[in-house]
Amino acid sequence: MGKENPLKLLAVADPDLAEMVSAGLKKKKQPVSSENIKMLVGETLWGMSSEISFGHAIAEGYIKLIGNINQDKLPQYRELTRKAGNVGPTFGRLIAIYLVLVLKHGDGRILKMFLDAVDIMQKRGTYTLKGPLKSLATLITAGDKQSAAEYLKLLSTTFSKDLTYSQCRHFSYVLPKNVLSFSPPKRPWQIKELIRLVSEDFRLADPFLDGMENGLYLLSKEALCKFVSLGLKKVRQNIKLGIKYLSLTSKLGIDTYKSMQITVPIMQVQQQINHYLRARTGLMIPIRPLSMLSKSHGIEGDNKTDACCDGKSIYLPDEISSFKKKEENIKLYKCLARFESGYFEFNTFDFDLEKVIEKCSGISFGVESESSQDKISDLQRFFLLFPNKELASDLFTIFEHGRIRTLFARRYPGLVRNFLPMLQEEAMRIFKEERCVKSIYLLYLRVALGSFTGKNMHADEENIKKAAGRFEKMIIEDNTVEACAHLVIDTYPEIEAILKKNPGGNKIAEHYLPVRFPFGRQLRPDLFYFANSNFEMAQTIKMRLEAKGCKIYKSEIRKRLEANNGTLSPEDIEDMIGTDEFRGIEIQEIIGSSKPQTTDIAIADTDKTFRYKEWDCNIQDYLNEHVRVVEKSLNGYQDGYYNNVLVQHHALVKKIKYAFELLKPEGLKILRQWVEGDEFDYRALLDFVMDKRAGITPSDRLYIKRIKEQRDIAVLLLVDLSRSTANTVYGSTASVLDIEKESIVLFCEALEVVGDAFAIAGFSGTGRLGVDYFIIKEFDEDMGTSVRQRISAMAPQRSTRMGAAIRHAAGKFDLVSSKVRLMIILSDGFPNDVDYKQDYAIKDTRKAISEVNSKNIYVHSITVNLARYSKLDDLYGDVKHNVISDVRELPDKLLRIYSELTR
Amino acid sequence: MTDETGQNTAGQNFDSYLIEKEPYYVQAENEVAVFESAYDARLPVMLKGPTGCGKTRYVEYMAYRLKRPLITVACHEDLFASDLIGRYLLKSDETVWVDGPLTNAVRIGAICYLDEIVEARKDTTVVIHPLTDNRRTLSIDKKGEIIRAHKKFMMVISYNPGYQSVLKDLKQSTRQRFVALAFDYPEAEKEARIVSHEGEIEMETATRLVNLAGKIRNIREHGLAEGASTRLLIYAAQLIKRGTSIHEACKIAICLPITDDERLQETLNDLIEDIF
Repeated sequence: MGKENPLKLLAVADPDLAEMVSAGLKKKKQPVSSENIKMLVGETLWGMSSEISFGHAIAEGYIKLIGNINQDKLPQYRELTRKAGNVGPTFGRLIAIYLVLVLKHGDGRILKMFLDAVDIMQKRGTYTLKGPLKSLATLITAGDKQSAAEYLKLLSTTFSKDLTYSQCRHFSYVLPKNVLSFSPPKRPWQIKELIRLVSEDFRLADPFLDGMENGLYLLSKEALCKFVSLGLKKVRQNIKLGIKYLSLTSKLGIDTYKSMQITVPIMQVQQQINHYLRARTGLMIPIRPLSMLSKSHGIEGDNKTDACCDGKSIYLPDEISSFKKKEENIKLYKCLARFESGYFEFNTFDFDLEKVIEKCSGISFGVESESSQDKISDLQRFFLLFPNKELASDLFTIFEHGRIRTLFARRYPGLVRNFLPMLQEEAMRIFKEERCVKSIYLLYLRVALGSFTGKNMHADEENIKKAAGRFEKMIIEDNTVEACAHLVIDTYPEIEAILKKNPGGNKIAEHYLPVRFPFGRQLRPDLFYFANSNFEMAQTIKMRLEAKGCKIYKSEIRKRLEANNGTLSPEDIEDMIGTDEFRGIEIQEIIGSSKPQTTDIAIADTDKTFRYKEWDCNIQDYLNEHVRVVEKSLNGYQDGYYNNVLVQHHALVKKIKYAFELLKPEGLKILRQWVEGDEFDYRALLDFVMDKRAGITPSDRLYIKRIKEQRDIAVLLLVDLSRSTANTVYGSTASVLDIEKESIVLFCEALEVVGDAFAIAGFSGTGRLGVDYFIIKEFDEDMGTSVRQRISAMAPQRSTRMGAAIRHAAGKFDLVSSKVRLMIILSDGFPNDVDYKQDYAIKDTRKAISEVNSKNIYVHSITVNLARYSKLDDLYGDVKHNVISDVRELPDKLLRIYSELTR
Repeated sequence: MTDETGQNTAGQNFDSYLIEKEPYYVQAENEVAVFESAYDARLPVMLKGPTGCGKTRYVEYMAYRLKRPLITVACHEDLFASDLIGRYLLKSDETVWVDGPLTNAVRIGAICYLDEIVEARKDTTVVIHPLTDNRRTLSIDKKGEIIRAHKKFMMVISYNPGYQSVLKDLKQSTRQRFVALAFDYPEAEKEARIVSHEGEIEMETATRLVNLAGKIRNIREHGLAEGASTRLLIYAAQLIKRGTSIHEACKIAICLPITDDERLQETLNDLIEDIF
């Protein structure tokens, strides 16, 4: 046996495994010694004799370890897996898998802690190990050794307590889940605080984890330590109060937390900044956390960037804790959002290379390579014209920041006064403390931030002064973004000459150290290209127009495409080129055929099927019987959803019921002491006679007036059930529809109180023949169990063909006699379906609304969670809609809007 | 006796309802000529527009130009027909008829301006129907009298379509008796001139106030029933003129009146901080 290849032996036992092992060993850089192979095979066979999967785990473990750890650690692995295997194959397998990572990435200290924790947990039952070890592997693989060590300590502490079976199960699930959810830089000391609490009493772990979810994660290391110390003191006095304190459900807990909170999460300021930007710029510029940048663009955000934008959204840090005061951190958010929004307000993204080339006639550019034309924005193409594109990009950013600062100073002096100092201070810190090209940084300070560092600070002061002077002169004459490109062209050679004087200056391309702008506010044209899909189409249309002898800038076409959601109408083309000389066919050639394919679904017409016309804006006429609406009833089920929502919002329900009770009319209102009316008020008559006899001038208010007061309102709530309502609301685990459903429950409660007739329906569907209209509650139906179940059953469906749904819903009012008829459309965006997009969809919906209006039905729309909505006025009319950008406010606002509408 | 009283009252009232000093009014488009034509044809006029955009000032200005007395009634939900037409009052042992503002206007040939007509009860607004078609008569049921309107009488009503209650809307039968003029906030340069003149402040500050109002009007959908009106800008200007700091004046004259929502207040304060 000694001379035989051990792998052959393994192949006899398990040929597949032997093949896998042999392949794994072949990949090793160094040849594997026969002793090691022998050990691998021997141990694997030993493991397999106990349980096949255990043997496999051992084999995989050895493959991972051989050649990657010191040879002397292999026997340790053998010894420990053997020991574990002797306890049981399941335990042995877990050790064989996870010990590999500890030996490979950890150190002696972690190994010892690992063995201690595993030993303690194993005594509780092998079932406690799987989840915790899996998350330990995640931490170790991510290189977070400090957290791994603390986590092991936490496991040892927790499982050494006197726990029942279900408590063990609970902790083996809760601890790994929560530890992984902690933010990596804060994780070690957050776990440490958890250990302190568990050491005192394991019952404190859950309240603390709840508290973490409720906001404690925002506290700094010192603040969390102090908070926990106070919590422990409270626990010793009264455990119930202590638990409430730690979970942030007591007033004291919340107050203490608030007084200690310094870190500001983006969620806290997001909505306010959104409102502010909407107001100031008139544009909808969503604020998003930087962590979403990688999700939306597939690009990893680097750690040096705190703020950037892609021409559609502004990305800001998920949380800010740079300053010691919470207010200062909030101010930094505001500062970054304000300066980034300058790109939008002053058209940085409308940069057009062609305009630059025209302006700089006579200046020769380097030859642009063919490949550079593809998949990059004009700004990137501009930078490629220079020998060092990083230097060109930095210079452009400097002048662009300067341009925005100058324009801000003209329009918003307060903004510059209040927020520029933040950027200036950070820039000065970088200038003094960090490695940077001093001459370029001086130019940045001077041009972009308008700050001076003092006299004779730098040998190149004169050149900097000259460039800054050129900027100031230029910005008065021409404040477009292209002027900045002109400045880059003029300044680049001078700066390059300065850089060449430095040691190693001959190789600028290799040695150039890009400018580190305060808070990483570098312009990101690469992101801009990813976020805007209209570059190529704009280029194509431009070329087609040029072929017909029309001169037009690509940026103008792109802007128009952007405004029209990626399509152009013949009128747009005529408007842009300022002529209507093209014939219809020619314009179609320019725009290109964009009519989407139609999808007809073959469904048999049933009794519940209705046909409706649709407005085609292209032919300016109706398409008769074009859309088929299928009326469906949702199958609800008993799940207590409705009642759960009522319990969850009991305080709000109480408030709403009271408010709606006030809206309810009293029926017949009696007005006393009127100067005229239906009959005499006898009390007033007696007074009249008595006053007269007493010689006093009597009052002439002798009548009673009766006024009939009644609410005669019927309202239909039409809910968009499109696929997008399944999206999770940022900062919450609920979807948009979940929150809409909660609002509907509250809406039903309120309307029951006030007594208005109401109906609820949902709509969705695919294609013109498949519009689904889901009945949740009809006007003549009581709010019974089945309605409640149907509300619970509402779920995201497919697309949104809004016009047909509105037309169908309007028919429901034929059955009600109420004088005032109101249709409220609750949606999360614009109509969108197969063959039903953008302008076509908007115009049909608008048409449907006017048809409904002509039937004396008021239509009011509430749009939630919508990022960009410049066309909502086109869709619903300017005073007929509300936007609730944070859907979480819907439950409260829906009823407020309703009561305003019917007051 | 009643007629005589009415006539006397009318005679005395004519002068007191005349506007003596020319109100400051900046014409936005051709609304002055349109009103003159409507007056010439004795067509009733309906003014639509957001609050504080200058509807009342426009009517005052037109009354001045046309040299007609102006009788204004601010409508409210307890306004009854008798409040417009008139009523019997007790004086000593007698009942005396007293004309209401509408009857008064009909008799003396004034411009009767019913401000915020949608606030009035629907059964009240129907009394104006015979006055606003070719009959031009007013029926006083209590007296069994039908008054033919003075040949120079004119009816003007106003309302705010941005007021979102579906219960407060004009009936078609009322709407279709009027020619309508749509008002909006004046364009920036004109609005700045108005604010500067009325608030007696320099143009630069007035322009910034108008700029602020423009920005506030951008967030109408976010809980503001309406944007900042020209009237509020004038209030702010008047406070600035009297020494209140710009920030304070904007806050108390513009931000606090238009919303109770604290977060919106904060947004508005941010705008003020940035613009001034």
